[in-house]
Amino acid sequence: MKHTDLDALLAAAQAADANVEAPPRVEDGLRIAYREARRAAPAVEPTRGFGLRAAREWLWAGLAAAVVAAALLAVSRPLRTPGGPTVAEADPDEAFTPLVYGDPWSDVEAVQVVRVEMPRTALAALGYVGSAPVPDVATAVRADLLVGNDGVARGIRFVR
Amino acid sequence: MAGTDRDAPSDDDLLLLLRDGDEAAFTAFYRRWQGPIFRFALRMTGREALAEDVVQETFLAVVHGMRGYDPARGSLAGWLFGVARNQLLRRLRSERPYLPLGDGPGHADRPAPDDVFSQVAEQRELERLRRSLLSLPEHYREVLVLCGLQGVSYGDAAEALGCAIGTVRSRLSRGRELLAARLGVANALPAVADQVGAAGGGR
Repeated sequence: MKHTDLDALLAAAQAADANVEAPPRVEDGLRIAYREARRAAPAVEPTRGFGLRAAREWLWAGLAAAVVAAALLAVSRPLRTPGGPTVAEADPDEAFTPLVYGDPWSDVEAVQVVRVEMPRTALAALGYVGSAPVPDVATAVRADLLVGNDGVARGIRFVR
Repeated sequence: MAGTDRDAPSDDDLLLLLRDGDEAAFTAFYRRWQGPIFRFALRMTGREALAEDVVQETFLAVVHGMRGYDPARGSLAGWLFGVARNQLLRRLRSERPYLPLGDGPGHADRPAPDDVFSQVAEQRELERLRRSLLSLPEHYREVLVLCGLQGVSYGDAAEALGCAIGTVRSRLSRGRELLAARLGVANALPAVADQVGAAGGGR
């Protein structure tokens, strides 16, 4: 069969490709990744609001408010008092876990580390999909957040 | 294209469910979209292994919350193909130079033909088309693969490529000219942009 015009050839190629798909192993791997992600991050974002800009903006606004409040607290109150109990320490060798997909630093000019305490369930809203270091959902976690100059948290490191 | 069965749940429904942890919804969503993404990557590169990786990375972005996708600002197809394209470009640019020779004939195979000679001749034509596509500059190749082979609308292609619809039209027109010349076939539709656009590309 000789196709004499481009459209006929493209149509034949499209028809020949109709059943071309990724091999099943890709689906198997992705389902495992999906399960892991769901297990690590119980759904806490409002499902009705998925994809709605307003819901996302509220989440970020809440996060920004929490970050600002934590920063103000950190500045106005010393973390150590002489002779008093020491605060929890983060392992300086522990890497920050990225909270955004792709390159977290692509559009950031400066970052700062902010220590926060928040409910475990808020981790998912931040974009964290790993296992939090506390088993109880009601327990608060303490963490260092790497916050970009746009107010968005880019990375997290838990405080033991 | 994906997502057109009347009785099947819509993409939006599946996204809501998979967001809530419904693995069956994720599987359905994956099965609906993996073919177009895989074919796009395969025809852009001629390499199955790389196309597999692109599918995996694209759907991992779905698993991890589809950052950057906002239905109020763009289509799902545009977002998915855009993620796939970014993965493709990143990999291609890190691997250059490479030979787009394909991984083998597996996906070009079709069921045993009654007319073997006719079938073989068509296979050769299609292989020639695919090789010619691979030899085109990237910006022509991607619009030809998306709009010419995948049936993606101009609007979705523009979103995926991050350019204006007019740019998609002009690249498609020029890409067709180049491809037809390399294959020695007629480019029968000089006003192809209008015709394809009328089929939904102007969204």
